[in-house]
Amino acid sequence: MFDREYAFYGKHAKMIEKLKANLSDEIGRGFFETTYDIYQVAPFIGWIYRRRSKIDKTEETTKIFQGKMMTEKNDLVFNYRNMMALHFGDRSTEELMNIAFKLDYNDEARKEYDEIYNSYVLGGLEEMYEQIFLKDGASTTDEYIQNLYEFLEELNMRLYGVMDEDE
Amino acid sequence: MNEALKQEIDKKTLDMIEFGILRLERKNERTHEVSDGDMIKKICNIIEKEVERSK
Amino acid sequence: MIIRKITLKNFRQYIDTSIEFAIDPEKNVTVVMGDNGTGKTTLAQAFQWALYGKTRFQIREIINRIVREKMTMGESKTVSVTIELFYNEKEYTVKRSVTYKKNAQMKLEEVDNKFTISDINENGEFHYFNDGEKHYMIKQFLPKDLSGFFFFDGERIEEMSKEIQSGKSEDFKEAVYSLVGLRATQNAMGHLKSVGNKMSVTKYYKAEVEKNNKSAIAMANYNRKIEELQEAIDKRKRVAEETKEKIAKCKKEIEECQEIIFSETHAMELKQQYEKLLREIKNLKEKRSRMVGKVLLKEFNNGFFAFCARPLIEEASPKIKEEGAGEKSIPDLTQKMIYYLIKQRKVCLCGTPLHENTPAHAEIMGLLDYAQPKTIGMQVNDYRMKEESILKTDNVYMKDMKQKMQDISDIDEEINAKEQEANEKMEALGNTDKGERAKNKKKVLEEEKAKLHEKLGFLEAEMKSKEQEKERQETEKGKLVITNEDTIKNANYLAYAEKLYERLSENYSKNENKYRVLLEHRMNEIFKTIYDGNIRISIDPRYRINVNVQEEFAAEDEVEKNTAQGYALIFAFISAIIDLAKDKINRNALEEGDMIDVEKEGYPMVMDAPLSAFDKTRIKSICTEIPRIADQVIIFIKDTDGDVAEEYMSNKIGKRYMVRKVNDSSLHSEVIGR
Repeated sequence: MFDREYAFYGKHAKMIEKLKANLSDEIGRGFFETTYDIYQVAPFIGWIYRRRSKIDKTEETTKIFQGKMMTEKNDLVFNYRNMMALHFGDRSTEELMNIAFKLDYNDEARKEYDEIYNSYVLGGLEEMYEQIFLKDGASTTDEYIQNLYEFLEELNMRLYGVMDEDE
Repeated sequence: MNEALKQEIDKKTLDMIEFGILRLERKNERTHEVSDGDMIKKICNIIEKEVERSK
Repeated sequence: MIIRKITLKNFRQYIDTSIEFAIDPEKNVTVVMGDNGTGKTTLAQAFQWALYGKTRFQIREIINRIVREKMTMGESKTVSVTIELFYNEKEYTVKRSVTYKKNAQMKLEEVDNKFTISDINENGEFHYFNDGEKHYMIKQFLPKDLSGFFFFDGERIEEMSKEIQSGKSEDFKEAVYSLVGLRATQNAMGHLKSVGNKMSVTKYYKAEVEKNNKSAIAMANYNRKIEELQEAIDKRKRVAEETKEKIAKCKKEIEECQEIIFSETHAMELKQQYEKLLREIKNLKEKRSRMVGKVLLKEFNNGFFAFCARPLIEEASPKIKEEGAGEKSIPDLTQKMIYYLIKQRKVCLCGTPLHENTPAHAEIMGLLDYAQPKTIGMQVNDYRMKEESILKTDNVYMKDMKQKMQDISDIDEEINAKEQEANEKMEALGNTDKGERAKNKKKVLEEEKAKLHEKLGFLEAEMKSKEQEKERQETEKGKLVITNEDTIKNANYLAYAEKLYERLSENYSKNENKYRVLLEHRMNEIFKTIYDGNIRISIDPRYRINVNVQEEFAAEDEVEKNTAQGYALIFAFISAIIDLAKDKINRNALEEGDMIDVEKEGYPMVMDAPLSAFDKTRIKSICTEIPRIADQVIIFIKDTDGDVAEEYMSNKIGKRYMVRKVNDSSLHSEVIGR
């Protein structure tokens, strides 16, 4: 599990590039530094917003290389276990543990669960992209930054139940 | 029909809807850029998104 | 916040003056007397300049004229105002200074500009706050938009008093509503549900629920809309390209004008000053970009995963329970390994042959039950370790991000201020005919360029939204069959909208009432100290203030009561607003250390009161009311009112000063203690 390269296709690849692209020459960075950074957090966002998506079967790709995947394998396996526990939260402990822990070396049996995991990755990516680049008709860097901050405020509310009052 | 559905109202979803709408209103309070008609559309958007997410 | 001392150096009429203010709670009034023209107003304005950098005078006029005249070529002099204050039980020093140098043409140039806030740390050393902290602290000491209530022009009292008593209390209501956030709730309610013809969210969903399905017509409609949108997009694309070209052309022409202006400016130092400002602006913009990139975005990237993951891990973790026994698991032992030993190697690691039906063979086969992936003990262990490492980190992410956003918006304010200054300086450049023409042309071009940018911004936003709309229409087209399911959905949305309206209106009444009661209570508290409970103020739901007198008064007292009432009302109102403001500061405080003790933290009232414009009864009111309400009073009055002030406030006056001209010069004043 997680020992092969991973690729984003089509519209998802475009979204990844935009999330990493420099906001401007002077700012010199984008929202995320690497594709992996996005890949790591995306499934959680997908779960928070209950959003799943399918692979967009077109040419363009953006990849995470095998080397990087293997370096981060433990973290990704950790993510996988959490996602399975969340998605299958209603099942019995035995079933849940089977799916989350016992299929590490059984690629065939794990296929359908990998697909579920991946669908959350893509859904989460779409959600982040929309929150930052499309919300409120944003078109300038400052507006993207404002959207980012509001996204964080919203997540803060959703995850930690904290409402901050505006001035 | 309304009565049956009202029982299904999820508090957390209502909280998130309230959060989103009040934030929108506070922003507009300062800038007054958005017309009433557009505000209503945006509010509907927020309600629909949150309800769909909670399913 | 209480002011301990103010020191002015070379600031307008004051060459070297300091005033220590009365801070004793029992004697909290400082009286500064002086005739018009001695510089009282200047003193009062010095506070505002030190804290916010704004005055009503031109920047170039702040240096004392005598000092200015005496400066020799190449000499520098610094203008400064230093305020020592107490806030939240700590002492701070705020200092603003500007340094001027006389150049070869015997004209003044500004060579330095500083604003510092400092305190003394545990080691007795001075500690200076950084830019981001400074802006934040000024907001804590005394927010600029509330400063109008504390730095007071006495003449305003009359107007305010009249307004409030005549029942026109719109300003009051507005101030309260916006401080307290009721306006947004009200607006939200209005959008959710409305009466009459006005559209609302509930109306919309009701209509949706009742809609009939007319597919074919709908399909044609969608197609038409999609086509129209595409046309609109294409058209805008063309206009956008043209606009970009126009902008580039404008830029070039502006540069040409700039060159002319510069070559027509003979005064070197003016050019230098202007260029210096441009550099400063450029630096600030670079700094801002760095703050966005290296600080904000970097922090975002680094902390985002943990921020999102933490609560989800807390949710998932309880579902993960270990089953297998821990002891039997051997690290990294896999089934693959066992099969290899049994089937291929046929010999154990220690050398024992593994023939079938031998104890060795059975032992190894038995391990199959505990080899991965069957045994998960080790895996769950790994999971718990990773879980702990994430959960034990502090959750300061949101607070950090909020602070960084604030820092960036503070820099934006600075940039704005400097750009304004640069524009003012631009006026002074290029003072030949040719230069003037170029300046005018440049102005026009810049306005044009700004408009073009705005236009381009709109176009781009419009194109984006039309693209999205087009996509949406396409998706909608695809879902054309309206089923019972849709009706149910809309009914559900309607239910949420109505429930939210219910909730908001309950809260609104509660809050609205709560604040009105708070204000009423506070205002009555103050009145009680004056009238021994004979007067009661009530604030009705429309924020009109009613004064109910319980006693009959003789005719001559009537006049005095009315004017006194009016003043008392105003001060009571101010005092109540102060309470609300303090409450708001605490609600928005980033951490506990920033919160103020609402009971103990006071505010000063600095009043520039032309008492002679009022009659004796008013002076009496002012002198009696204010020290009761403000925690520190600094009052600037005319010489002739001195006796009156003494008469009514003497037991509260902690310090007395007099401002007078030095050697009868209108250019130099000093302050003497009495």
